[in-house]
Amino acid sequence: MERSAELKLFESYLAPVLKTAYGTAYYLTHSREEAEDLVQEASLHAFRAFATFQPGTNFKAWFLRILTNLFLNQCRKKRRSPDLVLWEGAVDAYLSDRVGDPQLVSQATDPSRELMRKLDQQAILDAVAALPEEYRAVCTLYFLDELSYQEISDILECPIGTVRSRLHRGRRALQYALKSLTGYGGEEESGECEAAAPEGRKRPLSGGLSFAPAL
Amino acid sequence: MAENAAYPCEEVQARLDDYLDQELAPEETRRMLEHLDTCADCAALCRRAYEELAEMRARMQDFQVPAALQEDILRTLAESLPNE
Repeated sequence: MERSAELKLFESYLAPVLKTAYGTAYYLTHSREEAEDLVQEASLHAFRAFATFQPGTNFKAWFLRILTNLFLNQCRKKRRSPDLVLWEGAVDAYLSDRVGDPQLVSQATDPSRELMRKLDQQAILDAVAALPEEYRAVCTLYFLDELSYQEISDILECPIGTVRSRLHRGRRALQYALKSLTGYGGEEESGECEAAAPEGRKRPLSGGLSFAPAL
Repeated sequence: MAENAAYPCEEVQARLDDYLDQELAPEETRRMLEHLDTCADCAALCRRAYEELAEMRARMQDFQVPAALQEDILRTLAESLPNE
């Protein structure tokens, strides 16, 4: 195929998914400029590999896989996430403490949607950015495009069970980080992680947003 | 607890994420619904969790794509083509 015709064909695939791609990049990078750069770079990679894309298959998933891989590879080059195990332990400890908690049920009648609406876009962007990158990718794909576990698993090339656990933990972390910003969520709010880390130490979580139990 | 009985509150709360994601097996869903039909507290909790997810989704989807992005991308791709 002539290269210019190939470019036109690529454009016809890219245009419908551009909003999702940009939004994904925006929440992954926490920056409009970096999001544009990431989408540009992903587009270049995808175009160069376009011959490997099978017509009739899911272009959006294929493109988002390229985009998220680029982002995660960039993160791995920059740094590792040494506190990921502690972060996961803190979230799990908090979740297990809350099952059966009568206060959890009593909060159910509070106007959480009203509280969420008071948060500006920056607050939500900050909360997502505070998640470890692997959790940020899963949550972004889930909230942005309402993808299923299977679709997210295909994009991120990780097991469905991993998608599930990261989504559940990530959602809870977002929920309580945002509630802390509204002043709703209980009396114990601080810059320190209140849930017990596996070693029994308290550590602030990345991004400065604490995962404090709302009790 | 009988195998086919409705879940108690703790079981409902522990399974709430999977229920909201429609990932429960049919029998598990039945036992969840049976409890939610009779427990106002858990029903309210479920409704709130659903609304929070919906609100979060709506907020995250509320963004603008830079107007020139598509054009910029295509220009970059065109420039990457070898001269014919």
